[in-house]
Amino acid sequence: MQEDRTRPFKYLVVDDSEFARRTLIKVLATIGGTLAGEANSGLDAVQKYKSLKPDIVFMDITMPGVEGLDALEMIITEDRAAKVVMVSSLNYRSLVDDALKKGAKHFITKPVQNAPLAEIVRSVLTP
Amino acid sequence: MRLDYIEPIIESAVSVLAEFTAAPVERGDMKLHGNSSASKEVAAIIGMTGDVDGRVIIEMDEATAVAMAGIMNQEPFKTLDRLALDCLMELANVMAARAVSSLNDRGFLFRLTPPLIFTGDNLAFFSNLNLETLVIPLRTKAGDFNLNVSLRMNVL
Repeated sequence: MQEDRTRPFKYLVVDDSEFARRTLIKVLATIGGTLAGEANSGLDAVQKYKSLKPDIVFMDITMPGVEGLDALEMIITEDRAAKVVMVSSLNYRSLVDDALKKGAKHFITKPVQNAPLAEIVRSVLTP
Repeated sequence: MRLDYIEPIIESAVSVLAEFTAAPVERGDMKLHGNSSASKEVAAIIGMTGDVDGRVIIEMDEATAVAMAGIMNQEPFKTLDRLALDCLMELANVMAARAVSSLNDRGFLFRLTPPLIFTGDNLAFFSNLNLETLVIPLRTKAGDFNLNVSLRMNVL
């Protein structure tokens, strides 16, 4: 896999699917990311954000219990500077708009490709 | 059931299977079944709500399930273990999500539930929604799938 390094960053991956988390982690490893932690639900994501303080959170949307958009709002309430990128198979316009209004820094559609993800990470991490 | 929302669901299933297997997918003739439907050995189910009520099921035999999960994982599985089943739930999730995104951008309002997966012999699905099931065979490099669509528009 071609590497596309950006500056080192710590990230939290949130998805109820272990396969989806592993797939994203493989891609992020090639672009300079260090895994801070994984969460399998929105509530787990909020708790782990508070304890791990990652540079970026990659958040799925459709999850049992607390969904991704609700977890996003809770994290932003906790930390207005939080950098959350939504990662979902759903990408209809009103959903993307809603996520960005709620404070997501970006939105990427699954399956995730290296080059677009690298570009998104660079733009989100750049002050 | 209406073709204007059924067809994007079928197209999405075909395109996702083609993408994941990196090979063409052959679509068979559609058949309409009654309220209950018998299933192959592995069935991934996604519920749909909003403008519709019902479910979409992608089903396959165990050999196809193991082969498909291996392709997605980029490493073969020997059995249908927990991670292999997770791959298949993600397959169903991506298929349904792509269809819902296309439909919602056209003005529909569809919502998805997280996927469930069932395995076993002689599975049959029955609902009190009195829905017919449209069964679409799909032939792929990994094996044969059936896409079962049981939906009805909500009348407000």
